[in-house]
Amino acid sequence: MNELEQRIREAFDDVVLPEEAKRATLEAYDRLACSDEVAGGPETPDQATGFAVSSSVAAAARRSRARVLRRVGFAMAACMALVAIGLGGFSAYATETAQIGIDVNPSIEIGVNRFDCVVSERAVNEDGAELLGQVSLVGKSYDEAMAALSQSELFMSYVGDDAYIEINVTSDDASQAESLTQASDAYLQTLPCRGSCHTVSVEDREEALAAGMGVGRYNAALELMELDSSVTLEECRSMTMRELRDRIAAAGGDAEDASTGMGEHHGQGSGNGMRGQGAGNGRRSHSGE
Amino acid sequence: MDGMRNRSDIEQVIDEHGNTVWRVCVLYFHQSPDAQDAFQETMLKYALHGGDFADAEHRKAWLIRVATNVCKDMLKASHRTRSVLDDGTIASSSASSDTHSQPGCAEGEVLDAMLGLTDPPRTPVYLALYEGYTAPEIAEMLEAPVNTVYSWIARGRKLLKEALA
Repeated sequence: MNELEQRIREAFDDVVLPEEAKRATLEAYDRLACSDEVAGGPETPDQATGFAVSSSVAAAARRSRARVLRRVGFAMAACMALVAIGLGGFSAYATETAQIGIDVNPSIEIGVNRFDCVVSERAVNEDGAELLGQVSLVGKSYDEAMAALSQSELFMSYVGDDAYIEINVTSDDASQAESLTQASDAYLQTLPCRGSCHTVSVEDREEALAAGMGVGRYNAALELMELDSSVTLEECRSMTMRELRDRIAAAGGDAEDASTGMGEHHGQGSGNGMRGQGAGNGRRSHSGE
Repeated sequence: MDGMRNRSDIEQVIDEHGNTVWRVCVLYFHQSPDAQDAFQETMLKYALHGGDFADAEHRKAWLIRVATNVCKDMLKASHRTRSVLDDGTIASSSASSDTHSQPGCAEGEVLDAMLGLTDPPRTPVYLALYEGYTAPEIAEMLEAPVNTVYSWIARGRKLLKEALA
């Protein structure tokens, strides 16, 4: 080995795959494998790549893959179809088109793609981080992700009879926002706690995140601060949704959202935009039972 | 999972050839987020690849070729923000955040010199001098005439010697 080769070898021997890149790649694989089964692979060995490494290898025996279809929900079938498209579709698969914020005491946010597959999860507060440390939602359909939360002892410990949960959906796609809101409301009905489900605008979500809070908590905080000027945003940050709603009710606030501790109460309805936030692109929907 | 390789397959390939693929990506993008994107995309192409490989060496060669194509495609993409000069080389300033490219770092000098080459001969000379492929093997991988590959390797060696003198 000459000196040039020696220098090149020494330089590139130090170049090793970072753990972060490995982890991110496997996470991307998991997202791509959201469904249990996918449609059959490419028709030719090289359809995914568009070239042949070697004509002799290209002529090698191909593994035949039976196309297996099973009865699945639309979202799952869409995930499978997208995998068959190959990497050209992967970008669309990985693109987040809607966010669902869940505020109880843990505050988390789930990002889903156009097929309602979870492609990201974020903790908005420490309790949310602890929750996501125990429950993995990425790669699941939205319905599966909600089921996973229900199977989490930690999450269920937060949503007891006396708790209050807010689920807020944001999407530029009105029909996706509507369907996710309906799915979220249906999920709420399976929980023992009280709660409400809303569609909120992109601007409102961004404002809440800029304040370091989930949308549900932020909106409730603004509502409480309007009613009671002695309350600060910082105080609201540490309150549970139940505490916020009780304080709002005590200050003469919107009774529709107020928790009465009288069993299940799940609401979804219509309202007129965000309080004091100016015109937005979304609508805040809420109504009583 | 029909139509897609299973996770253990991907994990094994990353363990066996991850460094090899990563080095190709670094050859184009230094150790930057773009290199991570290129690595990820290469592995996902592998996950979706429906064909068989004759042996481990064939799989490795396939991965190198795919990674090279992915990197070239990324360079062409108009939405990428990197400094690509008219002659196809990558401005070294785009990798200034990489510790290997810090002034005075021996490894950085070599990496910068490699990235300073146009491609070809960058990829052929890397495959020859680091991965140890012969010119006929490189010719098959890059679908180029073997005599052309010999010329690329010779020119690449000369340019590297001048850059590292």
